[in-house]
Amino acid sequence: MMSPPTHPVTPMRVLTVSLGLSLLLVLSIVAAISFGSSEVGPAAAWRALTGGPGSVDAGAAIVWRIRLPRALLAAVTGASLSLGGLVFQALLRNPLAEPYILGISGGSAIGAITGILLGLAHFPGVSLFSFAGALATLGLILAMGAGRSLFQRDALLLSGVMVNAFCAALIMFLLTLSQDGRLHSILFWLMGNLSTIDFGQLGLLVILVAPCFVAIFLLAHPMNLMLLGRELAASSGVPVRAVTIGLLVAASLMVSVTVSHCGLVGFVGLVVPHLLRMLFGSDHRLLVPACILGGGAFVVGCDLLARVLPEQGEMPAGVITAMIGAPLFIYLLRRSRD
Amino acid sequence: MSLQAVWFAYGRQTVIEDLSLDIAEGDFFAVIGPNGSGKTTLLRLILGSLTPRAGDITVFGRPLAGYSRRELARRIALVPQGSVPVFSYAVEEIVRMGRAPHLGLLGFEAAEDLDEASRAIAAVGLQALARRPLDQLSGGEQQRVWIARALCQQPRLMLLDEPTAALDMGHQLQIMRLLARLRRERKMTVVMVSHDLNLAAMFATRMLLIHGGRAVCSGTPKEVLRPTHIRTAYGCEVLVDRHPQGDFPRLTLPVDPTDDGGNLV
Repeated sequence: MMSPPTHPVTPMRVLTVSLGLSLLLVLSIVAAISFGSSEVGPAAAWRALTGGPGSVDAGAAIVWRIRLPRALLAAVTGASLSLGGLVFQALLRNPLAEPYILGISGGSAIGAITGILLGLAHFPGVSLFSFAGALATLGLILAMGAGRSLFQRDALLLSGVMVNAFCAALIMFLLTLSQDGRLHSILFWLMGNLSTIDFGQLGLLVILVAPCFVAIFLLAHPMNLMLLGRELAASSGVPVRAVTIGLLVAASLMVSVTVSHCGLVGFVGLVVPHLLRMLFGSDHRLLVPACILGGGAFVVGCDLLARVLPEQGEMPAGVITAMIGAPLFIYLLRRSRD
Repeated sequence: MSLQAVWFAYGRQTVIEDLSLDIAEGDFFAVIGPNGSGKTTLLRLILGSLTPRAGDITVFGRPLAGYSRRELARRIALVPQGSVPVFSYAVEEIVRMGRAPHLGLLGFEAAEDLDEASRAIAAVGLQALARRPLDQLSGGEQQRVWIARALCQQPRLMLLDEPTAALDMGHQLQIMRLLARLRRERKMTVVMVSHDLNLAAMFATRMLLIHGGRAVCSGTPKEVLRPTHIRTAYGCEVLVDRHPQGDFPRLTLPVDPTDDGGNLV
């Protein structure tokens, strides 16, 4: 395994890396708009896009109503889940921590499904329920690992596995109780469905997650220090308690509102931060913007694969991210045991 | 800095009891005592990460509680009992983190911060390893990285938690000489918690012996390291004589011929 580069992290370097990854994100969104199950190819998609949303062009509806909002949702999803993984890994000092593996995504899903079954509007009802679900799971994980054992990798992972099993059971329980006609769509959503969003919902989602991105970026340097040890961070002037609470709330809010829109897209928070750490080192002042942009590009790419790979129809994006993420998880687990 | 009649307890368990202490600027001060005697708690009280239940702590002429976290971090730096972070950081990245209390909102270093970090790396002699990941360094080198990180904070007081634990004899001596040199060159006060009484006797200007949270004795190594004091604190006999090269005590463990005398028989 190559050792990470150690160029000093300067604002210039953060800017350069961010610009590079922005380009990657834009390219992935262009690709996502250009391809799909319908006949609308790259040229037609470009015409529809430049014609504006009001264009009468046949492809316009597909591009403006389906592909573009979906690609943008995938980008926001990837950004929040990657950043969520990065934050949990730093706070718990555990390279395998990730919203999905910890069960925080599962808790959000339970909250969201409860909201849906109660017939609440997506915003604020379902989102709030989802946030409550995430906080409850987080509280449960922290309580189960109360004290030092929380920071031990295996204890944390085992409690995450149990929280996930419990969440899965509870989700099935809620679904079978409901006898709802929307059962199929909920099941599909559970595996990570990015297809149901319009620009209005997308705007709300961005309004909720963008402040979390900013808050986490401002706390990037304290995150570096806290990785060296809480006592050392405190002695370097970091208000450890306030930073921890701020990061936990921002990450949970961001992950839960994302999950309430797109369901369970697993392992993104594991794959993206580890990949970026290998490329750019472990400094969070660089990793936070890199996770937002690179994570976005990653999920846009996975969703594109999920749409174009099947002969008929499509599969949830979560299938692709899990197929990439689960083997990586096992690789990381093995490597960290050596 | 000084402590006046300081008490501290974790829950109902009193850990520091009526402790008073004066450390003059420029001292090389060693806090010694058996396991669980309250040494690390004392360190945390000086660091401000624990607040005494009673008593006053004064640092550089002002009450400790009157400092903001950042103000304190610009005056007091900690060298922890080294551990390797879960993610790989290069030596210079870790040392630069010492600039934290001097940085702005976004936490980016200016040119003078990077210069200060280079000076700290040079001061501990790690220039050649600056770009290497910490986890590829030996124990002694890692300890020097943590010292450089603390130096980079430009403190007037450096606190060290057992800086020579887990090091071999050669590296122990190297670290202690480094600390003595840095103290002289930077006119810094050094306070260290130590288990190694002989090393402490060689380098410390003054020391405090604590037992059960109470001060047994404080003063110069000659005043503190006496058989009666050691017996009170550690519950064992020692032979104390003069180091052959200097006017400071040397401790030797005696053998008991009536018990298993080890290599005596």
